[in-house]
Amino acid sequence: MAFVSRGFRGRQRSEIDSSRVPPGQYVVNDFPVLSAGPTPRTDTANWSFSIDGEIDEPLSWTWDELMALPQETFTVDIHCVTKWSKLDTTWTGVAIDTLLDGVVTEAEHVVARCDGDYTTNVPLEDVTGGRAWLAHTFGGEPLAAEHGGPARLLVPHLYFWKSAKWVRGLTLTIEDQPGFWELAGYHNYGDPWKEQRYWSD
Amino acid sequence: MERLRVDWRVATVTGVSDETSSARTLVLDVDGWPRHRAGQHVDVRLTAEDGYQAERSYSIASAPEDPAVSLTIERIDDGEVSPYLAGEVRDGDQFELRGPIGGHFTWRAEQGGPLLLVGGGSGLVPLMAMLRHRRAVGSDAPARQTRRPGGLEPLQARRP
Repeated sequence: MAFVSRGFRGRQRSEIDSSRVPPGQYVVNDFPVLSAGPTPRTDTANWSFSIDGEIDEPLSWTWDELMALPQETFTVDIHCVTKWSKLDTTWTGVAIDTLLDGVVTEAEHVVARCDGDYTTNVPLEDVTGGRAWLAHTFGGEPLAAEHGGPARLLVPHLYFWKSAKWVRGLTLTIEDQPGFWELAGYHNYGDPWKEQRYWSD
Repeated sequence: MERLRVDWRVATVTGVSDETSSARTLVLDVDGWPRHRAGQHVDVRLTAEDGYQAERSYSIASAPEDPAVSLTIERIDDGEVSPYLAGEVRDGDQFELRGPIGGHFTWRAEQGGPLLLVGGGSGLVPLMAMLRHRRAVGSDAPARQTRRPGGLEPLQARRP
């Protein structure tokens, strides 16, 4: 236990189930927007999503093809490394499992590629097994551009920078390839429950 | 990329000064502080008597050349941490802090100019660190800063 900060009491916190809030996080009701650059705006008519890298035949979907795939609506808690958590967020999207159905690969990692050249890396096993989606709808509405629309990766069990906004594809890789924030001092994996914020955590 | 370990350190408040009616600068003596780059931030961790902890991120206001680390904090009235840091805290108080953090939005004089710094509210703080760094090293990089009227405007004039 650290020492006490004189006079600090904290907010009344009885109304929030603390077992759902990872260490160092606080719950917000709004949806903060934090981006490292300008917000790309890609029309769904010009949008496509691809899977390449360690795969025999790269895969690609248009927006209409994505919408024709089985859709899942799910409610999850999200945790941003800047300390805010948002509970019970409801999304609709396509499970990454669905996109990878039938794919044979030697890869153990993926790199998410995005409009605006953002990248982030995630172990392949963390985007499969029903733990990650390509999400296009938030709270029943089309995902706004400022929150990553038309579609973002959603990997809610990791810090939210892994849930890449404006994602346009996944590259399957043998070697782990750290992405934008991972190269800028943030943790390579980013488990909120282990408070893996920075590289040395 | 520097790979400094990001460990918790003890910060002792050595100075408190109001910038505006809602913003306050804390001058800190930090155990073993590694030199930061202008534009970086720290994580602050407060611990209540019952063991409850709260963490928040704050931008560093001081130049890397300044031996003391300064944070300028805007008080959010219904906030949990800023009313404490920008209200309750006084000289000699201690809390935990770790950093410096963030390698993306920084500026070093060697990178040259020109600089166009646009920010509002507490977003002015990391820009002030850059201007203070510019002044501390005698950089002649052209710099322009915009600010929103009613924000932290007096800050530059009063704390060069």
